[in-house]
Amino acid sequence: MYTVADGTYSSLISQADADQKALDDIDANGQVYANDQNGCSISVTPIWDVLDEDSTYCLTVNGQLPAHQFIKETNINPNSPLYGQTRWSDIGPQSSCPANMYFNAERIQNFTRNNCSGGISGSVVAYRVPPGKYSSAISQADADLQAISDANTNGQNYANQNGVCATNIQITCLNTRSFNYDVRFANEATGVTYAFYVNANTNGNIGTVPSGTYTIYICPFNSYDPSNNYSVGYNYITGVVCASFYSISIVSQTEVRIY
Amino acid sequence: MANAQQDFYLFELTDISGRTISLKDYRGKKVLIILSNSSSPDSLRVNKISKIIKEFGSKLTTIVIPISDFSSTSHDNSKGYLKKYQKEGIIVTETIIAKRTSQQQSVFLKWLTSKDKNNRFDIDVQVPFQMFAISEKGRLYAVMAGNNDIDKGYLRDILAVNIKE
Repeated sequence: MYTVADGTYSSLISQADADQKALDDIDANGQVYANDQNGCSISVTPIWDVLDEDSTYCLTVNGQLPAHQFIKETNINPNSPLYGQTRWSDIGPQSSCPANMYFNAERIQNFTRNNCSGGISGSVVAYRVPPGKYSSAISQADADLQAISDANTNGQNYANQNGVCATNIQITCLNTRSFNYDVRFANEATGVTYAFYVNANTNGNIGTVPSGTYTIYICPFNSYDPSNNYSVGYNYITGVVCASFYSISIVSQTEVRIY
Repeated sequence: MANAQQDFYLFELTDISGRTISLKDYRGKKVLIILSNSSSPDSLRVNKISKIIKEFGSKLTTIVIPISDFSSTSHDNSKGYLKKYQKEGIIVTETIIAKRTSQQQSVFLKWLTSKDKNNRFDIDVQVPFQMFAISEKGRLYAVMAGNNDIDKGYLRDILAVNIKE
């Protein structure tokens, strides 16, 4: 704010003339003063805009008619931390969403690829039925049932085409102790356990497991001696009877050591 | 004593002089945690540990945590072997309670001993000289019972491993 202090100007003519001098001062200098105060600021507030008018769907909110239309908005403020992010915005009932129709809610269902050769496990793939893809003049449940049917019909094929197959990984074991050991690899995704019997004082391949993340359990048969040392890859547990290693990623040949 | 976070580098400990130790300062180095008796230590093992640690120089940071549960008698942090550790550049924290069932167990010990926190191992605090090795990227990669690791050289081998993460 630019201020002309009381008494800055005087006049022998009249009060109005003195006040006019103050107003002239403001007109002459006020804007320059404001520009000099470095009061500029950059707004980081998101600015949401519709960039693609075709990105829209209808949805019966909470199962209530009439359906609302949702449009995709993009944050176009480059100074905002959320720049480039999108969101779906409810713009209420619109003529493009028939008032007497129910529309399905989004449905996401996981499927495991099941066409890998040789019994190799496949990855889990999410199949998505977008909201508003199906409609029904009968009920919300009927619209949602169509989405479920879509997932059940197409989800497995989608997973088989888009999922990846695990590869078999060689497991070796060096056992320098005079006990036999039970070594188990439990796949944390599939729940399948691969069990291996390791003889005393042996070294070599003990089998394969599909690539994945495992809990690995090692325990001697008929021994309770708490002086076993174990390692799996770059993980170590020493001075125990049995040991469990959690969340071990098996993606290449892995050595189990017992010493 | 520490934050209830699962990221090793978010923890802060307090040393026996009351100073804050931020574990984020040790990012890029291996860290060896030793749970120690807070009184009546085995001086022979202390000397052996010190010798092994020195071999790794600045690549390794060692933190000794005195555990009150290991001692039946009260301790005195101001003298004895804890001071000996400090003189050799080893960090010594304040004494803490280890019992897993105790509400007073520190969240840092919970991180060391619970797979739900460290994502890898689930081994309780058991004996003096139990040790934990942390990789250069803050991952717990070894839990050692202690005595054999020191006497038979396993500790040296485990600390020397070149971890590919």
